[in-house]
Amino acid sequence: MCASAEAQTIYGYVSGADNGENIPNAVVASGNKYEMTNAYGYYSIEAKGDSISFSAHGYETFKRHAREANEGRLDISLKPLHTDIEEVTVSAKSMYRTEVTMARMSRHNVSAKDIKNNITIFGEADAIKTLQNLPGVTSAADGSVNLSVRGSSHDQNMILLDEATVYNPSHAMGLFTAFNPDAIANVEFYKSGYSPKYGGKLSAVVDMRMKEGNNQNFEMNGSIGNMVSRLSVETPIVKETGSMMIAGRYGDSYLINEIAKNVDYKTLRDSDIVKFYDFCVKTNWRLSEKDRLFASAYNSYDRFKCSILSQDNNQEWGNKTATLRWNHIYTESLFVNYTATASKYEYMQQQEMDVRDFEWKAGLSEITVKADADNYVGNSRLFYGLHVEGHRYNPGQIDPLNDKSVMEPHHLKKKSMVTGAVYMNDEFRIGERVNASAGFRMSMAKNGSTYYQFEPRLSVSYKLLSDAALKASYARTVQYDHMLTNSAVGMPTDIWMPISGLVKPQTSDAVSLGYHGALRKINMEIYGEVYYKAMHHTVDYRDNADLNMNEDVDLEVKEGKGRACGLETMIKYENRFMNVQASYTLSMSERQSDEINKGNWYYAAYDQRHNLSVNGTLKYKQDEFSLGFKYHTGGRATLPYTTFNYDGVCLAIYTERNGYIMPDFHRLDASVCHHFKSSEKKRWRSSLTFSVYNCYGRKNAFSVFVKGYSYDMSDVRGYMMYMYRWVPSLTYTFRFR
Amino acid sequence: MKITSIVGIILFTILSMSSCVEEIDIEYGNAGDYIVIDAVVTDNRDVQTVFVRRGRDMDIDVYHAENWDAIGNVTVKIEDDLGWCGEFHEVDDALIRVGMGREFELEGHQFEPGRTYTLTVTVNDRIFVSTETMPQPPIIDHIEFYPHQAKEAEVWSPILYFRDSQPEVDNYYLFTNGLYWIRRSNVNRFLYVNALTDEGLLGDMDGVKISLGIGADYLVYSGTWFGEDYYYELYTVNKCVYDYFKVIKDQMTSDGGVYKPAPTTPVTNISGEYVQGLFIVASLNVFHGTVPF
Repeated sequence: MCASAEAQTIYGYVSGADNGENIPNAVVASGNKYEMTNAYGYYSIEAKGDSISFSAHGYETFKRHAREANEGRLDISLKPLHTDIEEVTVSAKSMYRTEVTMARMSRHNVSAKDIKNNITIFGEADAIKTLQNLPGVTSAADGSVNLSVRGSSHDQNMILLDEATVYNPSHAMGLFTAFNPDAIANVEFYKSGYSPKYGGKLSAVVDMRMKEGNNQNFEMNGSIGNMVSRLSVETPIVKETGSMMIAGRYGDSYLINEIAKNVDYKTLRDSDIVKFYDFCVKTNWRLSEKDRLFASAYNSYDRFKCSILSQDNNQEWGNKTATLRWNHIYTESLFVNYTATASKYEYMQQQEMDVRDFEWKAGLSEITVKADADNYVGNSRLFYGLHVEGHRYNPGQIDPLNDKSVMEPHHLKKKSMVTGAVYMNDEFRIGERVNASAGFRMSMAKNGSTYYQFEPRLSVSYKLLSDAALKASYARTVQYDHMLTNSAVGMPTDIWMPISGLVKPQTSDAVSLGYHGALRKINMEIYGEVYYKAMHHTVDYRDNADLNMNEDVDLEVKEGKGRACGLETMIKYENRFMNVQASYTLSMSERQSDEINKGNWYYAAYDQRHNLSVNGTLKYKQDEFSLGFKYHTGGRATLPYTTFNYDGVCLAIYTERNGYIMPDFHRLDASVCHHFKSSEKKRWRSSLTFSVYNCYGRKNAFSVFVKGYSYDMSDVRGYMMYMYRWVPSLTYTFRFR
Repeated sequence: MKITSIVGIILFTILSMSSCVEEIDIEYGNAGDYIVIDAVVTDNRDVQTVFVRRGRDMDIDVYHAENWDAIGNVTVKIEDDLGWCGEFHEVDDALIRVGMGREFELEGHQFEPGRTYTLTVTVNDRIFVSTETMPQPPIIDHIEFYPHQAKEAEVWSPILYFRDSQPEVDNYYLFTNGLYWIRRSNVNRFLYVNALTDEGLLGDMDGVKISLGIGADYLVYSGTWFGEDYYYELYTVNKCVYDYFKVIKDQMTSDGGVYKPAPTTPVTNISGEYVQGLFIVASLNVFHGTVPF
């Protein structure tokens, strides 16, 4: 279609030539104009010049002439740049230019390769833990997958898998992420200032997309490790029309238990159980030139019994999600995606206590229907949509575990909430130097009481040089459900509750100012941001709260407020033989509530003043050597100030909440990966990775506490629990296609 | 064989070089001027007791009295809502009996459920006051013993059948148990206690509803055997007392595990600055006898 005599609207999909999967965030440039493909690889651009270039990370830049388009439609397949061990260099200069100067800020894109390069415990690649190397992101405890982003707690993050919410993204109490790395195609991570398309959580968004499935060839990936093994299969169903992907993973501590029988191993005993699996399946169909259908499902399950962490109680939890999406191209400039998702998270604990054996269950579920439109209008790109969600909460139910139990079934009243939102956002340019993104989200929630919230979002980029820009953003976000927990680690027993007449929605106002620059000649990227976030109506349980099986848990919750600020910096360098990423964050996070800590401000449990992360990979022939170092100021805990004797027992008087700073955290990880020789023609390719987590055996605090002599609590002393020292692992990874 | 060896070495390295809990140095504050009052009055005892002592620094040897600061002039008085007033007298060997404080007793007065009592403790110029109402006791049906396995031996735990006498009021219960010969009432009381509410008769986990009665917590007490004497006490208390004991239990079971709530300071029902402890006004049911064959 011709928009004018000079400009022609070209549209279509960008996909990979090797697997046929759509490529999100690919840059399509024509003259001085450029657009990025959306999450489904769709683009639409007014081509003013003859030539259109297509670039994406890890792919060769490809140029086509506008007149090659068939009535404006131009679908492109990009050839992968890499071979087995060849570095994926960013050859596409326009990638830098686009990333750096686009209005969106506080955003990071993590590819499947980034995930697999990160060194993690037991050698298992981990999508969420990779994010912990980014500035402004910390973890709750050593080895935990829970993220604290810019001073927020982990329940304030939205974790999406194919647009369905995953409430507990962990296996084995946080040791592993609940997602198979072979099944993840791409992770978009927003720390703040994100599009109004996202809403419902106060802090960050982790938007993960599963692979669509190779529609060109059969492909199998897998690995065998000393605790976790995984396998994924991708295959075309009808070549270039339909494909599917099936992936599964299984983890079992059986081997460790066997050894534990013979050695004095205190972290895991032979009677302990750590078992989990996850399974996902996805299929996609090109129904016509204008219609595509995606269906995916995910299931994860955990069984956990650990004498130290969970007092020998048997615990089980699992997530289930299902997503159905239909893409339709109405016109060359209007792309609409319709989505229906269902998500369920259930958790259970069994406790055996003489005649009181019982089983406790809780959970939550949600159903979402939404329509999201991308509308390319002249110089601007308009996003708008409608979301409707239904939530159902089971705050807890207790049933006798067996016939001998004297327990009586007791089920708390289930709660439900309906939320809805409309949003609109426009990305546009003002002159040659300014890119802007402005929009709003109007949301509502109904659960007895009805709340309406207006959420404006604005971000602006001012181009200093061709590859450097100053950026600023403001975002208001709202969260309609809350998690109550006694732990910073993220436990299956955490209680989720919706807003009510007593508990208002949490809101946050966040501003950021940053610099994003690229030194193209040396492939270096520089990033720096300062931020300030004010949180309102945050919730915390009051001192001595009764959280479990409490019908009126609203009364145990106290509203408060929070504030967080920080400075984030990051440098990335990449060439054919090596890549290095270093980040440093200086931050502060505080909370205040009238009935907690005598009404005084107190530091959040996640408050970690300094945070440094350095990661690098060096490639030599068929080997890759990786090092990762992480340091942060210790987290915070509440410890006693002094003690007193009461009725023969020594009891503690605690000072302010989170007033104690734990010992500093630091850790060095290393890995060596050897790729076995194979030619391009060989279908079987494999590698062996040996990695060591925590090379110098630092005892990093998982928690600190005081304890007295058991009989009367006399002789009170401080203790630190730590989890992992020198964890070596050996993983054999293979690929067959 | 080679692969097996490699895996074996790796696992052994993980296991042998990992540990879990280690002692660390923590800087504590000074116990300062904290006064701790431990007062119990019930409707089922001839003697009511009040202990008054100071807070203690965390690192002192508690078994040597010289390590404790003495407490000066102390007076303990109690009055009820009908105008009756009584004064506690000091027990001579208090220092020996409780180690580190002063003990006061009151004899010859019958305390009654439904009455409101005000305790006033004066330490030098400092005055501490607490007012509480004694709840009604439950209706007791009977007690029986239930067999269960505890550490490979079969033991018998008590199950108490009782009904709430005040359905319109939230009452709370402290159930103590102990062998007859260590039945010293106050000291160690909560080492053998289950804190309960009539909302669900809470055991170790809050909110657990039990229809038939309650069992002793065999984690701290392993039960009784045939022919043994038993002695149990059921205190009916108010929510403040229940919360206090719950915090005590949280503190005592705190081990840094992720399921344990962060312990907090117990909230006293005694007014005044730098004061801790509790004024328990409880109706009391006592059960004693021999575990039947």
